[in-house]
Amino acid sequence: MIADPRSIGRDARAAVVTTIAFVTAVALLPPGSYLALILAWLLLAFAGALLGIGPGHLARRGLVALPFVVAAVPIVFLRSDELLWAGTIGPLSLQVSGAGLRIALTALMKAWISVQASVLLLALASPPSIVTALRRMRLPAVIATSAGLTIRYLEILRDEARRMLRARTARSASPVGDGRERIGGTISWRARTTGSLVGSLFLRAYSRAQRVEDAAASRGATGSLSIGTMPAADSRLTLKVFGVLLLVLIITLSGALLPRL
Amino acid sequence: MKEQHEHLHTHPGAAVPHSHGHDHAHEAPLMPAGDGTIAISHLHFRYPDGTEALRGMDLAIAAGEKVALLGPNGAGKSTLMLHLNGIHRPTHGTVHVAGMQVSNETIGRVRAEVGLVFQDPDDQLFSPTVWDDVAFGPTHMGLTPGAIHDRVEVALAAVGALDLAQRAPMRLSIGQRKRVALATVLAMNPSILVFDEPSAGLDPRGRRELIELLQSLTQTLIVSTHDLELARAAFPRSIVVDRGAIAADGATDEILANRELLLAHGLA
Amino acid sequence: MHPQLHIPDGFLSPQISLLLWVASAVLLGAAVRKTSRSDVQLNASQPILMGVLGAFIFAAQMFNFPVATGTSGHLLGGVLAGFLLGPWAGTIVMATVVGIQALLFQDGGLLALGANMFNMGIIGTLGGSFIARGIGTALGGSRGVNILGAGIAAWLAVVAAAGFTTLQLGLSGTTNVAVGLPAMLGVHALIGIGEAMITVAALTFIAQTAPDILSGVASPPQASPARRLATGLVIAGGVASLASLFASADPDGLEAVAEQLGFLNAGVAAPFELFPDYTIPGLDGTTSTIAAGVLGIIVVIVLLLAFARIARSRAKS
Repeated sequence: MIADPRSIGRDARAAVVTTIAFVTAVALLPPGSYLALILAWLLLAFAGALLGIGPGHLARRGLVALPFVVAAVPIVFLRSDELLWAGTIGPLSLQVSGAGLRIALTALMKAWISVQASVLLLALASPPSIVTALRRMRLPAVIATSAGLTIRYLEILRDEARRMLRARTARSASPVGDGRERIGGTISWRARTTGSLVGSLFLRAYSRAQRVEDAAASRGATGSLSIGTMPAADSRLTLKVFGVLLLVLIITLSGALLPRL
Repeated sequence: MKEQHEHLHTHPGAAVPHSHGHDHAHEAPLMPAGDGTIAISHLHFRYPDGTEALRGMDLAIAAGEKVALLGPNGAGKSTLMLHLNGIHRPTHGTVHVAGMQVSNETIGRVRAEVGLVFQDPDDQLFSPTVWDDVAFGPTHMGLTPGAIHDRVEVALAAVGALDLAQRAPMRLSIGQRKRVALATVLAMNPSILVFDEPSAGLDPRGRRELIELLQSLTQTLIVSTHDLELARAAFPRSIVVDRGAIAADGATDEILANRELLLAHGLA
Repeated sequence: MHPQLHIPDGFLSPQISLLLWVASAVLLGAAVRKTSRSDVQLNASQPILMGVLGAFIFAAQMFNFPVATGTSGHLLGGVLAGFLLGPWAGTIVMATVVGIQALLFQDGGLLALGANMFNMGIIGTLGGSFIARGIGTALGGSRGVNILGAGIAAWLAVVAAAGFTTLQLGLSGTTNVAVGLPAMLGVHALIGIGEAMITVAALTFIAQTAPDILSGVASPPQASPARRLATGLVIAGGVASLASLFASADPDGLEAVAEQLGFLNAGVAAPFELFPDYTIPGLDGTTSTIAAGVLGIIVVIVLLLAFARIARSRAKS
């Protein structure tokens, strides 16, 4: 997740724009453009190889989006066009629609490829440099500052949460004489416990925010934090944007020209 | 989603203090059920990221022994302690506590037998009142309201914090919070107590009180610490851990007298 | 049982993605103007507090609430953020959290980010917070009533966010609204109960342990009886229409609805035109009436409360 330290402080606008353009071009491909999607993935895998990320690793990272395919499952069985199969399984009468299957498979591939595109973005640019790039692209200062600080304190607070959970687990014993792990107390007691954990973490975060503010104030900051110095603007940005347009064109044309299934 | 257990042990108001239900048969509130022994053999542990934290540990600790774990940061002391409570499971080897091998079959009882007191009491204390926090363990174990009440009272008395029962843990001093954190595990009636850096952050008086408290405990005691004076004062046996293995194991006085050993393992 | 609300890329049509990006951008822009014009609820300086509390919401989503062995609930935190920071700042924080989840953890897509910010930030946080305030106002505005309002709003926010997610997927032709909507609403009605319980417990804990921190928060000004009645009626209407949606969502009835609907033959959007005159699968017949009705009511509630608030702050300045 953490990028090459050399990339910190570089203008990440080109990387951000490329990623968004690539994901958009992929999203615009019509259902059934499997060949064009494979081409898009090959482009991605090539870029990954240039950055030292193997295609296998990239492909595995893409799997995180797959569970969402549940959302597209009903369409496979509920459309009645291009029936591939119809029949009964026990009491259920089922039909599999070719059109529905195509929509679901295309969505799945697009999700899988798009996740890998954002994995590459992170390999190319550090999270703070992405925030800086977005700031340059007119992201309001309040959001940029808040996002920067969220990224800064994310791991610290997640670590606190992890330690609190571990301490709760350590005290989560089963009744005497019962070996296996069981959950005790009533549902509302457990909800109160979880709520108390959330509340405790809030108070810890709140006092941390006050310490951060005091530290900022003691260094002369007033109200809001400055984003820090921006890295030098990418002098070849225009050129790169043309490259991006070319990329979009390739993907879109391949979607139009390559046969669909 | 695995099999759904039947709803168990629903005690409305289980955590409410002072709901005396003294009609139940009294158990001796803080008499541990287990035997307090620890036996570890060939313990290896590798974190998911590949870091090898423990590389073959063998260790036997008798009931009631008081043992200090010494060693530099990152030596594997905390990883070892988290094995005693089943939070980490061995990659290879076995861990037995109180006569049970730590496994999915025994984890519920293991957690009752081994009380873990974490370094930062704020990680451990999350309830609105001290009373609720000490009642967490017994309530999770499904004890009756009366039994919970007794356990909380005895545990708070054992650490001298009965007067803090209705206070918010967040509002206590660090020394008070450390004592309350100990009470939260004492209330579960463990035969083994495991402490991570108990003297960290305490002022001299708090430290002296802690040593007195540790000396008064009858359970098997394991303490991870950088505080050599604490080890000398309350722990007759010391184990030096370094790079995931046991470097020395013996009488605390002898180990602390061996300056070469201490220097070699970043303890002096 | 994590809420299934982070839509990845590929599941929404480009048209819907773009539309929701614009909607989110406009509303977040309004939120930025509101917060920089000092909607400061807490004492610490706003951007620092917002940033650290963004990390807090992130981390708080890790806390599990054991429901049964092997099953636990998790917090989403929109209404909690809105209660602690104020609706507008809370919305920015939640949208930022959703954005960081997409960028750093690939939890939700980049093109779909507009939709995810809309569902969890605008609906789940801004809408939820105004409903929480509305309930608090309608019932008299005491601390306990405000926290209760936050609990009810937390449930509504999760259910409404799930409803909007499904409608967007349906409009994109990726899911079947007649089947997807009741399923998503049903699951999130349960998840929402966990959300409500954790939100209430967390706020109660904070109120008990550090009442000073909550003192500046969530005490809307005393409202006139007429306004209280009106707020109560609008919210009751919204809840009732959601409830009626559930009532109409029994499986037998749905099968019939599915038969009737035209989405069986619905054309797929021509993807190379951003705004083609494509047909909307699933939004036809009975379901569309219910769905559009609920959507309309929720939008109206959110807008009404937002306008009332803007009008009030205008009147003050």
